Amino acid sequence: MRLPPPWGWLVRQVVSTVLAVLVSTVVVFGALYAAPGDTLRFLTGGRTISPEAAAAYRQQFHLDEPFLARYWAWLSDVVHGDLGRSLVSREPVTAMIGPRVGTTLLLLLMSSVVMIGIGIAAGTVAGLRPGRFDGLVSSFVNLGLAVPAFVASALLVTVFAVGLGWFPVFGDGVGLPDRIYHLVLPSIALSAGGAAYMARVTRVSVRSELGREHVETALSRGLSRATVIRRHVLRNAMLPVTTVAGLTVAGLVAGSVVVESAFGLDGLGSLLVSSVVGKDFAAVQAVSLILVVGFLAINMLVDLLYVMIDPRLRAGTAR
Amino acid sequence: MNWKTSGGIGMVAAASLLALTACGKPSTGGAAASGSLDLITTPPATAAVKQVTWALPYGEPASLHWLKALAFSDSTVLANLCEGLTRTTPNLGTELALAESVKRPNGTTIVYELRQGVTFTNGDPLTPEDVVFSLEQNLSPTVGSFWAEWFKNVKSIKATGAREVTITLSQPDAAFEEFLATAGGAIVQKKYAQAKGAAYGTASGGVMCTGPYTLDHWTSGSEIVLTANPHYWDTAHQPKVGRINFKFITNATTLADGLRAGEIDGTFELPFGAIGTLRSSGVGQVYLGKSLGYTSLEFTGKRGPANDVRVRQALSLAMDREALAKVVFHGAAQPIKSLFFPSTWGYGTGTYEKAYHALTGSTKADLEKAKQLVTQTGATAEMTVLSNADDPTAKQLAAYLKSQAESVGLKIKLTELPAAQWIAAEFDPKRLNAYDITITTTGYLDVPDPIEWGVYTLSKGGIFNPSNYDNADVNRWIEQARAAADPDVRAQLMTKVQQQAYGTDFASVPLVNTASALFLSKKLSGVPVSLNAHLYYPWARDLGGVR
Repeated sequence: MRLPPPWGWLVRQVVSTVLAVLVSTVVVFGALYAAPGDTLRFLTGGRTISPEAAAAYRQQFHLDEPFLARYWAWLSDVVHGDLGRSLVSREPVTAMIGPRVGTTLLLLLMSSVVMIGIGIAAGTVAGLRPGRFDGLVSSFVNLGLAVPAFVASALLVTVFAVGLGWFPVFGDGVGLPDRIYHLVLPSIALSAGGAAYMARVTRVSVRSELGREHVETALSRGLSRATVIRRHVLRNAMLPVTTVAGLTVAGLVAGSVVVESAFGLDGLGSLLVSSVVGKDFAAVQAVSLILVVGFLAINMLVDLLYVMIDPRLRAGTAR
Repeated sequence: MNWKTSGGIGMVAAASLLALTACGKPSTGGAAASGSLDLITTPPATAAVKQVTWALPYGEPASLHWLKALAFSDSTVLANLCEGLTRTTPNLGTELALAESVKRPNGTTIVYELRQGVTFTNGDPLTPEDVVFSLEQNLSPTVGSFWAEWFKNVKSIKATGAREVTITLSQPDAAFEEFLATAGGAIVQKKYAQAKGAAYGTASGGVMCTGPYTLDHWTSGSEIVLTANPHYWDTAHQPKVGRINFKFITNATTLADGLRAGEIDGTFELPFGAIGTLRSSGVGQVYLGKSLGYTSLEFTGKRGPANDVRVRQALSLAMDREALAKVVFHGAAQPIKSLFFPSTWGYGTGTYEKAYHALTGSTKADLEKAKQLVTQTGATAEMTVLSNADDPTAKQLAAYLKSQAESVGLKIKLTELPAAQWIAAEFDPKRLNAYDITITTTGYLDVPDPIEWGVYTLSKGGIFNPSNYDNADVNRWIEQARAAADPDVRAQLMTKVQQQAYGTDFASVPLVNTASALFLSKKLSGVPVSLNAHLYYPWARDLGGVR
C-alpha cells in the first residue's frame, strides 16, 4: 500500500532517523567500553582501597560483565523508560539530566540566535554592498574563524567579567532573566566561530545570486531593486545558507562542551565530559542519545525547510 | 578606505584585547614572601556572615558516605557535617569531640564516655548504638570502607553503658586511635543510615550527623549547600556563617577568575600557578599552611635501569629540590629528604628530627657525585617517566627531571596520560610496570604518623607500593612500631625504617612537601589553613567575617 505524499516521505525520514539513533548507541557504548580508564578508580577519587572493597564495587556495578550483556541490559531498560542509574553519583540518570537539559537548550538557543541573526545579517549586507563594510566584515569573519571557543571564552571573561565586571564569571543563575544574563558571554563565545562562518557563506551566496541572469533581467524590466532583492536574490540565496545553518547549529553541540566547562555551567556538555572520564555508562549513553536525537532532529528540520523554500524539491516528495 | 585599512582596524582591536588579557597573566616564581610554611590558622573571625560561596577545585564529591568519602572534595564538605568520638585539630593533634572522656584500662581496651545532650540534626539523641553501628561498618567487607586497614586489629565494639562504648583490640595497635580521629571514625545515626541503605551519602540520600552544619541540599552537578545547625552541641564553637554554597569548579582559569571577581569567597587547594595573580589582586589573601602532602618520584615494578640502587641515588642527587620548590611550586613547597618529613612528626619529635637531619642526601643537587654513580653502573637503557598530562606542575617537573637526569648521563623518555587514565595507572601496579618512574603529585598522609606511610608504601603488600619494595627488617620494624605502646619506641623503630628505605635503598625519591594553599576573601577570616584540618576538622565553624 502506498502512503499518499508527503506521508511516505515523512515515514521514511522517521524510520531512517530511528535506525541512525540505534546504530549510534551501539557505537558509543562500544567506544566507551573499549576506552582506557577505570570506573573504579574514578569512584575512589584515585585513592587506594582494599581488595575486598574493590571486589564489592566490581560486583555491585557489574564492572566485569561482557559488552553485549551490558548493552542489551541497557537497551531493554531504555525501552521501558528507565535510563539507568549513574555509576558515579548513584542517582537515576533522568534526575541528573533533567535540570541540565534546560541550561544546554537555553545556551544553544541563544547561540543560534546570535549566530544566525548576526551571521546572516552581516553576510547579507556585506554581500549587497561591496566596499568598506564588506572589508570590515571580512576581517572580523577571519578573526571569528581563527579564534577557538576556549580562547574566546578566556578573552571574554577577562575583559567583560573580571575586567569591566559587566557579566558574571561563571555559573547558571537562578530564574529565567538571571539565567539569560549568565549565558550572554558563553553564547557569544560559542557562536563566534559559527557566526563568522554563516556570514561568509551568506555573503558568497548573496553575491552569486546578485550576479544571476534572471536578476539582471528583472532589474532591466524595471522592477524595484528592493523587490528584486527580496523575491529573487535573498530567497534563492537562503538555500545553501539553510543547509549550513542547520549543520552549524548542530555543530554548536560539540562546542558547548568546551564553553560549559570554561564558564562552570551546569549543562549536558559538562556532564558528558565527566561521565566519559568516569566511564559512567548509563550517563554517557543517555546524554549521547539526547544529543544524537537532537542532531538528527535538526537535520530533519533543515530538510523540511529546504522543501518548503524550494518548489523544485516539493515534486520529489510526491513520489 | 580599502579592505587593508578595515582589516587593520580589526587587527588593532584584536591586539588591544590580547594586551588586556596579558595584564591578567600570572607571573612565574610568584612573590613567595612566606618563609616557613607552618601556618596553622588565619586570624580569628569576629562577625557573623549570612552566606559564603566556596569552591571545590577537585570537582563534585563522589560521596558523603562517612566511609567512602576520601577525595579532597568529599572530605572538605563532610568534615563540617559529621564528627567522631575524637577529631583531628588544625595543628594536626587530636582532641575529644563526641566523647567526653577516654579511659585505657589496658593496652587492648579503650572505653569512651559519650557527651551528654548531643543530638543529631533531626533532633534525635546520640546513643551508644549509633557509635557501635558507625564504627562497626568499617569491619564489614560488603561496605568496603576505605579505612578498613586500620580497624583490622579490632576484636569488638560494644555499648557497655547508657553513655559508654568499649572497643577491644586483638593486639595493641598504635595507629587505631589516630585513625579514629579521621573520617573513618565519624558517627552517623544508625536508624537513618539503615533506612537510606545504599542511598546514604548520595545527593538523594543525604547524611545524618551531629556536626555544626547540616546538608540543606545537594543538586547533582551544580552545588552543595550547607546551613548552620542551630542545635550544635559545642557552645564554644558555634558557626558564624549561616549558609555555605559549595561550587564545583575544576577549571583553574575559571576558579582564578571567579576569585578575582569576588564571585567566589574562598577555596582550598588553590592551584599553585594562580598564587601570583591572586596575591596581587587585592580582593583577598593567599595563605600557605602546614600540610602532610608531598610530591615524589616513585619507582615501579618494571625492574629496568632503576632496579640498580646507584641509578636511584643518582636520580635523587640530580634533583635540586630547593630550585623546584621556588620555581615549579612558586614557593609553596619545602624540600624534603624522606616521606617522613617534619609535618609528619606527630610524636617522638626529638627522635625523628635527629634522624632526619642525619639522613644521607641533601636538598641541593650534587651532579658530580651523580655522574660518578652513573658511570659506575655502565651503559644504562632509557627509562620512561609517567606524569599527569592535565597537571601543569607535573609537566614542568617532568621537563626538569629529564634535563637534570640527562646531564648526569641517564637516558629519559617522558610520557603523559590524561588525568583519568593517569589516576587509573597510578594505582594499578600492572599498568605502572609499563613505565620505570612515575611522578606522584597528590600524595598525602591522613595522620601525622610515619607508620601510615610505612604500611602503605614500604611494607610488603602495601596498597601503594608499586615497586614491591620488600625488606624483611623494614616489614618487621613497622609491625613492631604499630604494636608499641611507647611513642618513643615507635619513633626509634620508624627512624630505622627511614634510614633503610630512604637513606640506603632509595625506595623512592621524595622531592617536596607541598603547602596547603588557601585563598580567602578579605571580608572573611578564621578558617584553619593546614591540609588535614580542612579534611577532618569542622573548619567552617571557625569561618566568619571581619569588621
